[in-house]
Amino acid sequence: MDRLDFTQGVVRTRVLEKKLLTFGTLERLIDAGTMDEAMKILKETDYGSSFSLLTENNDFETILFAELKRSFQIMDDVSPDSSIVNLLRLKYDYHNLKVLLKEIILDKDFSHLYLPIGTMDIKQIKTFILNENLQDVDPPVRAAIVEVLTDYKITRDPQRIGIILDRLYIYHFLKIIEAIKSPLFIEYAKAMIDFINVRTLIRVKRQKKDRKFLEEVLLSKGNIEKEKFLHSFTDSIDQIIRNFRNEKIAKGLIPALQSYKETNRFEDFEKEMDNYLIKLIREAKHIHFGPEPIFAYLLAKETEMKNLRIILVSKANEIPPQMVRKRMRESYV
Amino acid sequence: MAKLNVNPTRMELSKLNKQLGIATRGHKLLKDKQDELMRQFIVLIKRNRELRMEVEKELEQSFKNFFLASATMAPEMLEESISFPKESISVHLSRKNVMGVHVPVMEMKRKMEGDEGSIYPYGCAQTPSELDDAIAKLNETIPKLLELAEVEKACQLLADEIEKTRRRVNALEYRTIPDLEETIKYIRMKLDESERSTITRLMKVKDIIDR
Repeated sequence: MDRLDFTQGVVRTRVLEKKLLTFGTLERLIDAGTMDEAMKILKETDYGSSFSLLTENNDFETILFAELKRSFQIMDDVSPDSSIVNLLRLKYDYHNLKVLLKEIILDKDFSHLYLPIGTMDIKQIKTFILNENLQDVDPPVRAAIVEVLTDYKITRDPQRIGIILDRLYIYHFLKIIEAIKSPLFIEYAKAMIDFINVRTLIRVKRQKKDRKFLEEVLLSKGNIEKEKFLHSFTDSIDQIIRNFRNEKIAKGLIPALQSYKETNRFEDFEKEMDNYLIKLIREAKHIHFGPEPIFAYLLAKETEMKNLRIILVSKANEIPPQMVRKRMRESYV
Repeated sequence: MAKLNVNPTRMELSKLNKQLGIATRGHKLLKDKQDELMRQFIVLIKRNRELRMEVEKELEQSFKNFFLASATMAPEMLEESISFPKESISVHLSRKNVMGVHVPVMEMKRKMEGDEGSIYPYGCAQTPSELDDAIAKLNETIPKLLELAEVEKACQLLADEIEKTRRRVNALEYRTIPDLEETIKYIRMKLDESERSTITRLMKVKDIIDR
C-alpha cells in the first residue's frame, strides 16, 4: 500500500471532519427539553439529509442507521483502498453472521436483525450453508462458519456462537490490520483487546463463572498476556488495579478500574475505554499521508452516533441532562 | 317479604319448619365460611401489595439497565445477543385448596440449576456489561414475579368466592328465612283460626241439640 495514494482522500476526509457534530451542538442536544426539540436541532446538522426517510415521528434509529450507511458509502468513495473501510464494516459482517447462524440453528426468521452495511452478501452465504457448499465463501468466514456449526453440534451451547464469533472477528480484524502495516492501527487493536480482556475478567467474576470459562472467552494477541488475566482471576479489585498498573493502557485503564471499584458498575469503565481509544486515534490528525485519517473518521462517526444514541434514548426516557452529560464519550474533534 | 304459595295444612307446616331449620343452620355455616375467607383474603392482599411494590421496583431497575445497554449499542445487536437463550425455564403448576377454593401453586424449574452464569447467552467482547446487570436483575425478579402471579390469582379466586358466599348468606338472611318464618306464621294462624271455628261450630251444635 502506497501511503501517497491517500493524499486526496485525506484532504476530503479533513473536509468531512469539519461536518462532525461539534461540542456545542451536542450540548444543545443534551439541553433540549423534549425529543421534538432535540430532533429539530439534529435536523439543522449534517443528519438533516436523512430526515426524509422518517416514516414515523422521532424514530431516530432510522436516521442513525441511514447516516452510518451514508458515511460508509462516502468513505468507500474517498478511500483508494477498500480494505480500510471494510475493516470497519467487519463488525457488522460478524454481527450478521451471528444472526444468520442463530437463524439457521433455531430455524426462525431473524431478518429484521440484519444490518445491511457489511461486506458480505449474507443471503448468498445462507444458501451456501443450506446447500452445504462453502467453497465460494471467503476463507476466514468459511472457517468461522464451520467452527461454530461443529462446536454447536457437540456442545449445544448458544453462548458459544457469540464467543467464537467475537474471537474470530477480532482475529480477522487484526489480520487485516497487520496487512495494512500501520503502527497506529496495530496499537489501536491491541489496546482494544486489552481493555476488552480486563472487562471480561471482571464480568466473568461477576457472572460467577469458572476459570476455564475465562480462558475460553479471553482474547489473545493483545499487549497483555492471557496468562496474566488468568492469574488475576481470584484477585480482589484492588489487587487487579495493582496488577495492571504498569501496562501500556494504564492511563485509561486505572481510572476505569477505580470508578468500577467505587460504583461497582461498568458505566464509567466503558466510557473510559472509549475515551482512551478515541484519544489514541486522534494521532491520525497529524498524519497527512496514509490510511489513518479515513479509519479515524469512521471511528469518530461511530463515536458520534454512540453519543447521539445516548442523548436520544435519554430524551425518550426523560433522563435529566446532567445524567446524560456524565455518560457522554469524548468526541474526536 | 312475601309468604310462599302453599296450602295451610299441618303437613306443609312441618315441612316448612324443617326447611327453616336447615336454612338457619346453612346460614350460620356460610357466615363462618365468609368470615374465614375474608381473613385469608386480607392476608393475601397484604402480601400481594408488598410483592407488587417489590417487583415493580426491581423491574424498573432492570429496565433502566436495559435502557443503559440499549443506549450504547445498535438495537439489532442488542436483540441478536439475546435472541437465542441458553437456559430454558418451565413452570410447574399444581393447586392448593383454600376453604374450598382451588388456588394455583406455581413452581419454577430451571434446566441448568446451579449454573449461575447460564443466564447470559452471549459473548463478552461485543456486548456492554450493563446487559449483564439487566439480565441478572431480571433473573432475580422472576421467582418473585411468579409468586406475585400466584398470589394475585389466588386473590381473584378468593374474591369471587367471597362474593358468591356473601350473596348466598344475604339471600338466606334477608329472603329465604323471613319468607319461611312468615309462611309458618301464616299457616299457624290459619290452623288456629280453623280450630277456633270448629270449636265454635261444635258449641253451637251442642246448644241446638240441648234446646
